[in-house]
Parts: sequence; structure tokens; C-alpha cells
Amino acid sequence: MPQTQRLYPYNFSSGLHLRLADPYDPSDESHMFSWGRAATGGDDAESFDLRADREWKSLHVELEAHLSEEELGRLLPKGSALERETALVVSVRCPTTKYRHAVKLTPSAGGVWKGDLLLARRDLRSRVELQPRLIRTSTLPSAPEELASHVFAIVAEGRPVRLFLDDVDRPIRGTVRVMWEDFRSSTNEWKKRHHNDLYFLEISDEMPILWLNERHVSLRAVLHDKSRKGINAGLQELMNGWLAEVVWLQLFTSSVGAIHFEPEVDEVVAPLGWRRDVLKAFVAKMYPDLQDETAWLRKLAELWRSPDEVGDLTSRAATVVQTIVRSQQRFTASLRAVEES
Amino acid sequence: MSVYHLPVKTFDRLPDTMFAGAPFPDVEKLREPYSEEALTSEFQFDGELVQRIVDKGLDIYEDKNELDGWLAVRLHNAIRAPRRLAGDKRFWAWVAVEFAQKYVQMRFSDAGGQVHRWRYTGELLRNAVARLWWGAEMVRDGPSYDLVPVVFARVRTAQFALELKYSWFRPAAMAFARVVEGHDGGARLTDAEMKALSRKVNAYLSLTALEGFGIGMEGEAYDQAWWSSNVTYESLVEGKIEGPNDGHVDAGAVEQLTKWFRELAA
Repeated sequence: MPQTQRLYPYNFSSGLHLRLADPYDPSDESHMFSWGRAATGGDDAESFDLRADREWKSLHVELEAHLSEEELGRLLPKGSALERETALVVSVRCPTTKYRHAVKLTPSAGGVWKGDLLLARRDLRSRVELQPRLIRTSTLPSAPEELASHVFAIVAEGRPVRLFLDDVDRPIRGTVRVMWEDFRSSTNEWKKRHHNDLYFLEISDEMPILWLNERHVSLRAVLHDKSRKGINAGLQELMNGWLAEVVWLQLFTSSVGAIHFEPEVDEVVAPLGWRRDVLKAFVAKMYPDLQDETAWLRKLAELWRSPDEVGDLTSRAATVVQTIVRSQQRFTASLRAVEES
Repeated sequence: MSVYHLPVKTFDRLPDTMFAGAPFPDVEKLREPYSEEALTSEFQFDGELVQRIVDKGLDIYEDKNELDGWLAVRLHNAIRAPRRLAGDKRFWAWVAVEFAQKYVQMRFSDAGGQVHRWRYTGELLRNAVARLWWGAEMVRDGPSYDLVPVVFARVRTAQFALELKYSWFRPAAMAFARVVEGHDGGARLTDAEMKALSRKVNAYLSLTALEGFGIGMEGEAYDQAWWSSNVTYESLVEGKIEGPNDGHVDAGAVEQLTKWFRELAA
């Protein structure tokens, strides 16, 4: 399957691998971190989930980066003084608090660098990304043309390791909470004004809430009916499918609209939390060839802003929604439920 | 006073009249105490002080950019929030609605007197007050706020110096502001030149590690005493204002980046 790749004008390696070990809180060494691999990491980065851990103040971890000696030989001239001419830096970034610092690791054995990272919780929110990079620290005026020669050139990079710190980065499963309310007595003026509606989707950075209108007693009766056959069972199947379709489409449009895109400077930043997960799920089905996150974010943002193409984008999204919701199967099931009554 | 926030679910309950400048005393019914562990330091919030500073700034300045530069320094000094809290738009929504409505309306209302909702409830660099605080935080050099008014000299400068990924790296944000405003001794760039420079910087940074410029600056001690202390109104309007004694920038890194950006702008 084709993938978007960045082409470097010199030998470059993406084979750098960063490992984190032995987490502890120096301000409370008795604190045991719940250091679980995150379900949200997906296939693009290693992730650790600290969301359930709300007690820590600082986090110390050991960092170890690896790059095979064979790769190193391809990136640097023979006889290079690794310590003098290069540096292994881990770029530590927290998008929410705009925290960006570098930690320099020390060369250990061949192709291995080690160091320590100390993070203060007061500086961070939502998530942190750690990206390892091997960079040149000096120019190489007489370098062969296939080798990077400028100072601070990135010669090797690894996939970022992500630490999820807060609940705003929720996995896609369980994205929407369902609540009942009589819209006539809602504190939300909009809902109150539209008190005959069946539902209202409240979208926020936290978990979106699907509000169902308790005023419609029959709606509740249908959606809560336990029978597997009959009119109610058929209606329930259809109603669930219909609501799910509407909700998913709204989540998608809200997520595309939240992509921060500056075409003038070619800057594109993914939305945080559930929105990013929603987009990933849709893109995998809409544009399976686009695997690089920056590429698909840019594509979505461009389509969204194009009067000619936004229609196609939403049509494709509606197709994906039907797949996610299994609309056809639901329709068949509803027919069967009614026929078997 | 206690620290509050406006939960996201309340944003829709802010009345349209408020965005046209009408007072909104009912904010007390919407706000909720900030109870989460973001308040890891002994952060204290003085809403009255924020309000007085805003009023003073509005009294002194008619020029919006000058007002921004003046207020940014003072609001950063008055609101000594850890980044964890300052990264929460719900906190800033509360501050903007309850203490800074006059500024938001004066600074961002359109010809019809209307302000976009996101100037109160938007992301950090969209919220009118958070934008000022973060601008000061992102370009201060330890206790020195010297470059803050430069960043706010033009709306576009603030936008390009603060809103892109390289902006998170303090020396880069500072160098960018210096070059585009001509504070390096070179020519001040037009908006179009600024945009072109930003595009070039982004392109070059796909091959060059920004962090290379700051190697050796990690591990600086946090100025706990400053962050957990109070400040008076008088010291904010009369004396020399100093920020925390942390977040120092390697002068060599700023110089190197400034030189590089100037070359790219040529």
C-alpha cells in the first residue's frame, strides 16, 4: 500500500528506537506508577497511559535510544567522533502547554545512548510526546554528498513515544455518553427552545453527550424495550442506527473543523483527544492510502475548506458512517424483527 | 480568592448579549471550583487585581497593540499559574468572562460591537486573555519581559511568533519576533515577508533540529518562590516588573536563530 514519506537529500534513518524504563516520582519515591500501555496509541507510536494516576507531581524515567551500528555507518563518515560531531536529543513536547525542551542522551555502547528525563506535572497537560533524534552538532564541509553536512541536521529519527496524562485524550471506544433529559426544563436555552426535538448532541473537548428528550415517553419506551421481535424491536433497531449515524457524522464534522490548518505556512496540527481518534477511524476507511498523519490531516483540512470538494468529503464520511453503524445489517434486522412478530 | 473555571458545557449558556458588551453578572451561576490536581503549586488568584490592571491598561492606551504589550506583561505577572493550569481553556474562559470583559470588548469587537465567542471560550491563543498570558510566557527570558511588547507590536507578529510549532521553543519565538520587527538591526518585515519567512522556517525545520540550538539548557530549577508569591497593584503599574527566575534562554541560541532567520528572510 502506498505511503507518504519525507524524502531527505542525504542518508537518513528512521530506525532510531526509544525505550522508557523505571518510572518513579522523586518527590514521593513510594509512589507506584500505573504504567500501562495505552489503547489509544494505535499503530503509529508507542504510548503509555498515566491517566488513571492522579497523585504524582514529578516523573523520572530512564531513556535508552538504539540505532544499529550498520545504520550509523550509513549516516556518518568513517571515523566520526560520535560524541563530538553528533548528539542524540529527545525532544519533549506537550502540545497543550506548549512545552518543548530537549534532553541530551550520552553515548553508551555501540548504537546505544542513555539518559534521564525529569518531568514536572505542573508543566504538562493532556499528553506528552518524546521524539528521539540523532543530529549533527558540527558542519562537515568535505562530506560526501550522500551525507548530511549542516549543523543540527537531523540524520536519524524514531517514532515518538506518547504519555497520556489526562482524560481529555479518550480512546474512541466509549466516546459518547448518553443522557436523558426533558428538554422543556433544560438549563440549556437552545435545547429548551427546541423542546420537541428528539435529541441534542453536546460536543466538547471532554466526552460528547448525546441528550435524548425524556419528554417523548414513547422514544424511551422504544429504545429501552427488551423484546427481540415485534414492532418495537424493529423500531429500536432503526432508531439506534439512525441516532448513531447522526452522531457519528456530527463527531466527524466537528473533528475536521477542529484541525488547525495554516495553508500559508503549511502548518497543520491535529485536534486533541477524541477528535483525533475519530478522524483516524474515518481516514482509515476514506483514504486508506494516506497513512502519514500530517498528510491526511492536510488533505482533510483542504477538502473541508474547498467549496467544490467539501460535498464529496461529507458524502464519503456518510458512507463510512454506514459501515461503522452497520446500517444495512440493522435495516435487515429491523425488517426481520417486524416480520417475525 | 478561589480558582474557578467555566465547564465547557456552560459555554452555550453564555448569553448573546454578553458578546455585544452587556454585563453578565450570572457568571457566578455557571462557574465551578477548580478542584483538579492542576493546582499543584500554591497558586493564588486575585481577580480584583486582574480587573484593576485591565482597567488601568484601558485608561492608558488607545493603541490596541500597545495595550496588548503592556497588559501581557502585567497579566502574566499577576496570574502566576503553572502551565498545567494555564493550558486549560476553561480557566481562561472564566477569567475572560468574569474579570476582563471590558478589555475583550474593546480589543476585539467588530463595527457592530460584537465579539466572537471564541475570544472568551476559545483555545489558548484565541481566548483574548490567555493569548496575552501565553505571549508573555513564551517569549520571556527568565525574569525579563523585554521582548513581550515586540511580539504584540502587530497582530500578525503575535500570530506567527506564537501560534506555530516552532513557537513552543522559546529561543525560536524570540528570534522570529526580533527579526520580523527589526529588533536585530535589520529591516522590519512586511506581513507578506513575515508569512514567507514562516513558511521557509517550517520547511527548513524538517531537516534541522530546533533543539540543537538549545542543547545544555535543560534542567533549570523552577522558581517556586516567585510562582507561589503575590504581587501588588502598585508594583505592577509603578515599578520594574520582573518575571520568575526560570525559563532562561541561551543568548547564543537566540543569536544563532536570529542570524539564521534573517538570512532566510533575505
